Amino acid sequence: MTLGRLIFRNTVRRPVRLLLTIGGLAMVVLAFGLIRLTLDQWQAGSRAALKNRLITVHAMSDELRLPLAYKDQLAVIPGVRTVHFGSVFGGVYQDPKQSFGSFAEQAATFFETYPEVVLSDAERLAFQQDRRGCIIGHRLAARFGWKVGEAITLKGTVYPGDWELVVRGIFRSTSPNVMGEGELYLHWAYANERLKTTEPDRADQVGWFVVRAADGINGQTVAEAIDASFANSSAETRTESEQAYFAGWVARSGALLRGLEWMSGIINGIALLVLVNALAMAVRERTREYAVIKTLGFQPRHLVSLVLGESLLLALLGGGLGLVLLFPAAQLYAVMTQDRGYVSSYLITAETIGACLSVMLLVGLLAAVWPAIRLIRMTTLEGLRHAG
Amino acid sequence: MYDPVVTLQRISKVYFRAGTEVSVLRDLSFSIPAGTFLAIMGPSGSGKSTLLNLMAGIDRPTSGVVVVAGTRLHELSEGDMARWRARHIGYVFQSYNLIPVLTAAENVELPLLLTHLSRSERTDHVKTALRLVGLGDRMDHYPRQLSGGQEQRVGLARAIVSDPTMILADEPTGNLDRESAEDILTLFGRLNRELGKTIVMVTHDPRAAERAQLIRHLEKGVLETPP
Repeated sequence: MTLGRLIFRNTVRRPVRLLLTIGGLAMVVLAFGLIRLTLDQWQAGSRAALKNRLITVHAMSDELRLPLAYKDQLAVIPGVRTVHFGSVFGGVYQDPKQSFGSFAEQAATFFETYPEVVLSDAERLAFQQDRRGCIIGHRLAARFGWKVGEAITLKGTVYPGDWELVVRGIFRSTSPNVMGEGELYLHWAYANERLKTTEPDRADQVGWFVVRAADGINGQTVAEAIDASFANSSAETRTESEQAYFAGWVARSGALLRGLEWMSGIINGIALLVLVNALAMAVRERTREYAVIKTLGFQPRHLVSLVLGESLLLALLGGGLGLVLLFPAAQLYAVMTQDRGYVSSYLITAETIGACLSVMLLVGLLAAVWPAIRLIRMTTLEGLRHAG
Repeated sequence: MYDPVVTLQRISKVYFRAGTEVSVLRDLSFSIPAGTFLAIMGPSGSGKSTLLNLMAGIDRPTSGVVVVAGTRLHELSEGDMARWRARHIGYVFQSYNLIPVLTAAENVELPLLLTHLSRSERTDHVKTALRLVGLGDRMDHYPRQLSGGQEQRVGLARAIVSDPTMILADEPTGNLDRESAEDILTLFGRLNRELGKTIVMVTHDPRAAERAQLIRHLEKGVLETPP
């Protein structure tokens, strides 16, 4: 017999209340976790981006395109090591709801530009040698059951028409927040070739250039040189590090992110109220028992331990259940958002787990404060006279 | 050994209820020799439970001095008072007051958690106490699985398990049938005679009081003078 056992027995004393309390806390952790995952997803690109990879887009808007001819001008700017380019492809498989991230990229410089892509040499070669070839992330492959060598037909939205592609490789990514494993990459040249005949006005244009600065060269200097080169042209550029580019994208969504942060706080407040209510009820019901324990010679600190222990146990049980539910919920969430074409996956990191557990520990500690103060203030005699 | 175990000097206790001053104990002085089995009788509201609570250190007098087991209780803080209670007082409640989520053995073991005894030593003490009250075969039963008489015997085992200086009992037979009450009173008698325990029992039942060595009557906060 230990005080720990008494804490456990007290916690499980009323199973219905226990289940409701844990269930309530689990739902709160689930909601908090999903919000954290959303925030992480938004900010992950910025965190994972390479500092020496520069992105050049149209100065007016990311939606506008740049002339392909800029490629040669970029290549001769001092400090530039490689120039890569690409565009959003906007492919749909069979049903408009089955959209995913798809991009037309220059194949020759793709792997050098994005070392995050993990693919065998044979698959790399097969992709680069086949203009109709494409590579897909393993999550996308799993989603549609696609295999290497399989011919697939996509309906293009940015590049109109039906596109017959051959899967030449299935990749994993060392940085899924930059190179998503639910995405598809095909040859820009193949897409552009068709555009020349169907919509010649839109041909030979790219959505972005990705410039890698030479080792030891300040990326900021290169970015300024690039933008200066195209100043006063019909398509001025905005060049920034990939990190800054993603950060800017996050910053433009600042109000939404702040809203989500507020939501997190409110949700934690709800968790606190759920737990305080459950504990206050329990302590009120057991006032006489606590007084008996005091009569036996236990001190206020022992009573505080009992209440605090119960509070933390409830918070951790609720938090644990919420975390267990978070894994399937995150998958479901990812599928739902993938269908809308926004994101590829939500990764539950140790940080997310730590944040959820830390919040629940804090909630457990705070929830015990008021009941504990009541017990400390209660005299033994008052407690023994308690009718509850 | 403390003798006398209890010394009360000019004790008064006043409560305030709804703005009205209620005098419960008035200038009360007496002492209890070690090894005494004392019954304090009196009608409801006479102050007998208050008197017991003062001796147990769970209430404080408005004025006067309470010395129990050589300690001036009014000088102790709440924390020190709790520590003192754990060493010197075994308390038996009218309504048993067992912890419902603990077994009989665990309830009895509870006061021993405040000692330095090892787990096996605690278990030995618990078994001894429960056998003494005739519940050696009910150790793993929860309070809801016991009769009122058995619950009170567990309460008594809990009161004696840490070998306190004195046992204080507040209407210990008040909720029991005649037979169970007899069992409890017999146990009190044995504890007093065989183990020399000082017992102070508050009761309004004359038949229960008769089992004590001494009976004192409390009337409107004043203790009758013994003949």
